[in-house]
Amino acid sequence: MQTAADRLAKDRIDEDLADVKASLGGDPAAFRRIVERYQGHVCRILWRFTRDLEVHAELVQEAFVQAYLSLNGFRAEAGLEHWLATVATRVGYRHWRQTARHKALAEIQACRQQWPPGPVEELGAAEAAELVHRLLARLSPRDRLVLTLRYLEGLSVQETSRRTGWTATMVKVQTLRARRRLEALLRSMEKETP
Amino acid sequence: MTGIDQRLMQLLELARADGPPDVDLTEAIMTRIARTQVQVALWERQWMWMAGLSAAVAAIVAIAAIPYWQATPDPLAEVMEAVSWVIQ
Repeated sequence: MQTAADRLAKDRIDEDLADVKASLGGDPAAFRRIVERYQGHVCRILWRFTRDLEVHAELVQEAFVQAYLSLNGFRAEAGLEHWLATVATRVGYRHWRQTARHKALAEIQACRQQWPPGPVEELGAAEAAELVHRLLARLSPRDRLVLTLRYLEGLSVQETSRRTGWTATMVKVQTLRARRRLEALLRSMEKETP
Repeated sequence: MTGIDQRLMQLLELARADGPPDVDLTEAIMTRIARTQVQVALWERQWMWMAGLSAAVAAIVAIAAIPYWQATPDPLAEVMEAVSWVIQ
């Protein structure tokens, strides 16, 4: 039996497909509807990749431009929400790879001043996110991506695999290694702190 | 779970609740898409002009070369003659 939630999801899929088709036919209003529907979702994903408002806005725009230009490659079975999430993740990852070298030093300095954070319970979500962002910035973009998707986005191994295009085994191995590296990093930082 | 591990997991859990500021980027996105479309169209037009120009140059060269080609004896003719002589 079809529930109300199922019907709603089916309506959304039909709506998405109609708008994708119209966008491919050159209707800008259709793509605007897609932007309005999924902007929040894409914004949330890319907020994990940068905490700079200007850069964030730039990345969100870039993700939608990329999505628009590669709309031909969208396959209905994947679902538009998931497809846009993959595009956004790719844009965020590329941003990390491009800025990794320039930002690393600044992040290391900022990070040293904040770790250890004292009682974690006393931190707010934004403070914790800021600290995590700086900590993860010290890792390679690859380690950072897998930890962000698994622990900040809360994706399962399968979902992370779909989002990144890596195999499930690779996701598991990468997660384990990245966690070990992060823990080693924190341990060394605690030792350095007087 | 070690102390660091536990603290890290708590921190990640807390950080997960953090969301982006509420901003509407629809206009900026649509403007950027329109600009990109113009750039792509310009780029495509440039390539079409270049392709057209190359085809025109190639056609002119081919037409100019026809009389020379017809006047030149076939370079393989001597080889073919020798081969047919051997076969005979």
